[in-house]
Amino acid sequence: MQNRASPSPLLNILRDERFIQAILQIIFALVVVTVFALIAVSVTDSLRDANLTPSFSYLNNRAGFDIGENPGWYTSDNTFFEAFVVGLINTLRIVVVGLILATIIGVFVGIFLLSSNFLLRTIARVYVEILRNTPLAVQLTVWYFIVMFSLPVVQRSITLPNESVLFLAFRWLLYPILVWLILSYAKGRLNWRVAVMTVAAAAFMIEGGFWLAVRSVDWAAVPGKADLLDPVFLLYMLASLAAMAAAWRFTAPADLRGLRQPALGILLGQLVGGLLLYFNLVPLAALRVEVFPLIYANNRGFVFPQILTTGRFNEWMAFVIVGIVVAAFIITYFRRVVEQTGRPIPYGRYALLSVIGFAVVGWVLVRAEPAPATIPVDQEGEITYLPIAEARSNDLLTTREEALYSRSPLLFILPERTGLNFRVGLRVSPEYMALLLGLAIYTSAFIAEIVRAGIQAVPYGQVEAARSIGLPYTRVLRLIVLPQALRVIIPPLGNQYLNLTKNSSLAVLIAFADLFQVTRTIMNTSGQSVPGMLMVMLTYLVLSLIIATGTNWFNRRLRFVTN
Amino acid sequence: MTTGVDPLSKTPLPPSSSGPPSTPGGASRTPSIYLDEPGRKPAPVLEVGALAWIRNNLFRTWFDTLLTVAASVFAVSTVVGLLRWVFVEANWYAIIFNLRLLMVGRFEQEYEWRAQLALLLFAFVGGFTLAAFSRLTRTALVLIAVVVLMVFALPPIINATIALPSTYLAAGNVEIASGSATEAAQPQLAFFGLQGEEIRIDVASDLSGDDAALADMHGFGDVAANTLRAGAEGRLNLQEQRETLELRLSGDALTTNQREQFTAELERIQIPEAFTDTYSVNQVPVLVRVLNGESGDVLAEGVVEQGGNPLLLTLPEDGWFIIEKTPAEGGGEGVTLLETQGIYPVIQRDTTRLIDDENTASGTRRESVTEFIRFSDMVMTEADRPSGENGDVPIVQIVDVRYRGDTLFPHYLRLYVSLFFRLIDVAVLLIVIAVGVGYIASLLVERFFPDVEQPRGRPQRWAVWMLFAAPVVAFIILYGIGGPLPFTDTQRWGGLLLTIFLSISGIVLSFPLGLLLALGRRSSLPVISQFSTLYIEFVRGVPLITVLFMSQLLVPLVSPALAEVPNIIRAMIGIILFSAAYLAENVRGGLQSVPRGQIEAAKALSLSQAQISLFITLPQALRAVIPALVGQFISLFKDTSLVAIVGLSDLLGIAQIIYAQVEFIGLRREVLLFVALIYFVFCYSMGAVSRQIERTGSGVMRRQQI
Repeated sequence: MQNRASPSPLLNILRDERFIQAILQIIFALVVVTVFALIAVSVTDSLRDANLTPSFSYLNNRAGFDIGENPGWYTSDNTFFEAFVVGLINTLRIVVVGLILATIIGVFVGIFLLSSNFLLRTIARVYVEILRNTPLAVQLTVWYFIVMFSLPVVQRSITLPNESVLFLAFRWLLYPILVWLILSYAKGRLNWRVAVMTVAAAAFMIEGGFWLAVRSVDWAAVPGKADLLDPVFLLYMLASLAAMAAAWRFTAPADLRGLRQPALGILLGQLVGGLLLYFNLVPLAALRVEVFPLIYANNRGFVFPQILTTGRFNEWMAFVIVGIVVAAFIITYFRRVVEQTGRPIPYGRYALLSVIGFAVVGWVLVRAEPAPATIPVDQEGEITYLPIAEARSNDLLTTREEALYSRSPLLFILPERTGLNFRVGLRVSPEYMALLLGLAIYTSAFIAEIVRAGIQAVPYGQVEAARSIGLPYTRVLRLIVLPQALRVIIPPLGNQYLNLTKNSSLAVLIAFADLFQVTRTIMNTSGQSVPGMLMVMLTYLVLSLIIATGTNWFNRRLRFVTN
Repeated sequence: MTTGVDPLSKTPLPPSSSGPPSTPGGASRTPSIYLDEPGRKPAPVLEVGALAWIRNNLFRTWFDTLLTVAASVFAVSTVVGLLRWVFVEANWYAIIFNLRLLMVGRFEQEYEWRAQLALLLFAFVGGFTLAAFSRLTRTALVLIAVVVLMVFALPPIINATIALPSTYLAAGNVEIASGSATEAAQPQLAFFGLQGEEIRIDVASDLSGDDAALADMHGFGDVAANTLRAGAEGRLNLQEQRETLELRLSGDALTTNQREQFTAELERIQIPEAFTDTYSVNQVPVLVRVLNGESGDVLAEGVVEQGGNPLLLTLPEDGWFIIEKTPAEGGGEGVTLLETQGIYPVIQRDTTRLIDDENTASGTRRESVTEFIRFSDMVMTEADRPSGENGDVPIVQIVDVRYRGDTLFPHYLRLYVSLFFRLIDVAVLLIVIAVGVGYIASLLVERFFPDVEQPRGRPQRWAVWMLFAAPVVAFIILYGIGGPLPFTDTQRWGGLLLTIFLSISGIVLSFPLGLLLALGRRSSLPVISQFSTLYIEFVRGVPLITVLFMSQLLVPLVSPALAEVPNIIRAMIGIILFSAAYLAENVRGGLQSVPRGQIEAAKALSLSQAQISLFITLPQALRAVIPALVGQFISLFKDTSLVAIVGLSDLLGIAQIIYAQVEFIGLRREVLLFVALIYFVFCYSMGAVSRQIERTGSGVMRRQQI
């Protein structure tokens, strides 16, 4: 070996694999850079020939076009860049609400897919298959051009719930009490058939008693003058007593003894109730409740209730923040106590209670401050001071002003229709609604499959083990199944979030002014096509990166901690 | 729950178990003082049979029962609503008239056989593959036979048993006002017929009773007849509306707001006089003449009136005819509805045709032709419409005479089912034959060239090769190579053809780039792996539509030579660049699943890096990712619908074109539903195949190997 003439160092270098790799990489990089540079140069040249030298300076020029869906400050006098921002805002409006909606629907459908109820899981399966196997573009077209277009005109808006009058009978209060009694007895011991039969029997008696009472009451008569010897009434009393006796007999066996108390209680209650009804001591008439719609849907869009912050919102918020701080203290303190002593302290509930308590107390205190006696009102350019009630009755207050002088910190305002328009309410365009529903429902099908797979990935032994140490079902789901399922669910869920974000660009099909659609208009108006498209791509890229980072962060937090 | 508690028996049985609702049979496990008494055990619970299945799957707990009730209400109402729409309300002629457009777009009509040949090729390969990997069951065979039989046997049966709906034509001397529309009856209408067809013209006495009878018109009608019908229906609706409002106002379950609104609405409702009285429907005798469209000779003439005889006529030849209908002299004012048989609406369509022309360079030129297609049986003519003094005589156009009223089921069968089956019968037969030939060929290959190592090994290998070759051959057939197979105009490709072409080419052509990117990303060379990662992540972070747009914009700008690249190719480039990134990620997943030992063993055999990739890792990786690739293909198939946005006419693009036409306006639902159905059938069946592969194919093989 030593005798052999060593090759020249140059040859050595040439033979070195690392050197060859480096050279290869440099060549590769050069080729890539050259190709891209050539493309860039020739594209720029072609554009320059067409008098459209690409640059970003056009962004400061006046846009000159209107956007149907804008946050209020935008007019055609704003710049291209501001138009672009409006598009971005619209995209974000869709994406944020869409993500939440898709997740909620998807989780529910995913659970339905695993339901033991054949009908429910079949419906969920059909839902998922139809949505997964047809293109989103087709679905969006259907949502907009068919669903939204077939909505009625404003006067005939579809409303939810329908404007109507409900009559709530007082005797119906007995039913919740009944159900509560049965449930409190049952605690897993009661056969549901017995429960249903008990409710049915009681309902029969309550309704029967009511019917008898109504039948025998002379409406014109003074209350309390009914005839005690009315045979129908006597029959009713006898039937009630017989029912009580039957219940006593029926609950004689040891294992049904527990039923005796509620059964007799119910029957006694209805007997007394019947007497009260009969002698007209409780109002027979029902409560008249007017129901006003929460949501209006028509061919000009949707209107939702609005939550307005008023002039006293900040004061109230201070209370809430104190509540949150206290809750944080409670959590940190008691968690340590729990960790050190193992005592089961429901500190989560305490924390929640603290927040709610402060919020309620704050609300009461803030509301206690009297409203200003008079408020400034702009009456045809002249500012006059009027009492609130007078200003309101004369229709001089805008919604905003009314909110400003309200005593409550938050106002929940139902939409109110005045002729062809809505005076108050959150208005949403049909384009937005179509895109939102289309995206959310399409994505929800994929999320449902992910949730199903995630839950199925948790071995059933886990559930059995948890059950065997006595955890109730809800806690098995919350403490055992969900945390493990989430590990499987989160990564593909993040992918679906990314897809939803990117798919929002299909807004162009239904002319919703999202990022892509606005940029297309910008490109057509300014002639700057390539820079505009690049900007859109980069913006989507950034959005994707943000979502991917969020998902990864969440995923890391959920990882198994192994030593 | 599975307990035997009987609340009425004197000696009760143990109550149900304390277990959660989802653990059936808990009762038998619960210790109870009653269990050891002889003869007191609960009767064994039925665990098999339909009843047990229903109880376990629909009525397990009370909550389950509630769910079942709610779900069945929802399911039944949805299904009934859908069926009602499909069979009664929908107008399917938009699909029937545009089936060609939906399938191949504006692909040259004279080369249509090439599209059919490509389809048959795929059918053949499909049959071959089927026999190589699986077997047809008896049920499937029976099903296919039933479908073929149905397609061929149903139209003649339907046509023989169900008469075509009548066409209602109005004649009269007054203007008919309905809502905002006012129409007068047209004195002359043109129609075309074939020799020997019988025409029957009579007064529509069924419709002359009252407005309810008038509104019940089912069939075709000209504009005036339709206005009359719509008016009568509108009037009945108003009447019903008023009754509803009065009923609601008479009760006290109304808010103040509603009361005001309803009162105002009630005041606004003004119900016109009955249409039958206003226009004295069918009271006026009509003088009807049928003329020859070209010569103007009178073929038949007669006065048609209620209670009189119908006018009968047998057409002497093929061609255009004119029906003239004017109120007879001295008959007074009014409108009479004629019920006619043998006169059917016509759709007018402009198309281009290749004809020989020696004066041009290519020896051919395209000429636009106007076709007229008869609605009832799709008979076509290119003869010019007859014209009178005021230009062309109006025809009973489909745009005016879309089937009116809810479709009667016999009419649905006659107008839609029969026509549709007659359109597709030959295609179905040929496809079935091609699949059968492929199937038998596969069986023969196995019979005469058996593989000693693996049963069906040879047909399986052949099938894989065919699956790769078929798209290429199909593309050559469709695109042409010159000479006997002239080039076709890709700009005219559309519909399902374009969708399939784009998705197959997208996945196949992105393979080389995708493989390189996958290998590059796993490469130890930092520059290459960084570049691959950058490319993949960039493409995966942007929407496909932006990539499509960018390729539309950039390709012609890159070099003057590319300025004339057709739209389809530009879209294809975008799709390939996009698809490659996703493909690379899928392949990378497969590469990661190849055990390291394989690579080490290959290195120990002193294989080079390229050899390792080509012969060791890639084959295993690709086999492992077949299901993922099918999944990618499905989503690409759906994503190709985005090319409609950049102006190509794929399935969705064609749908948009169709419902933008005047004839088919208002038929979006039908067209979109049909398009969605095509997508669904393709995607769902591909998904089923993918699941099958996952269960039995590559996935299983991989798991066994590891």
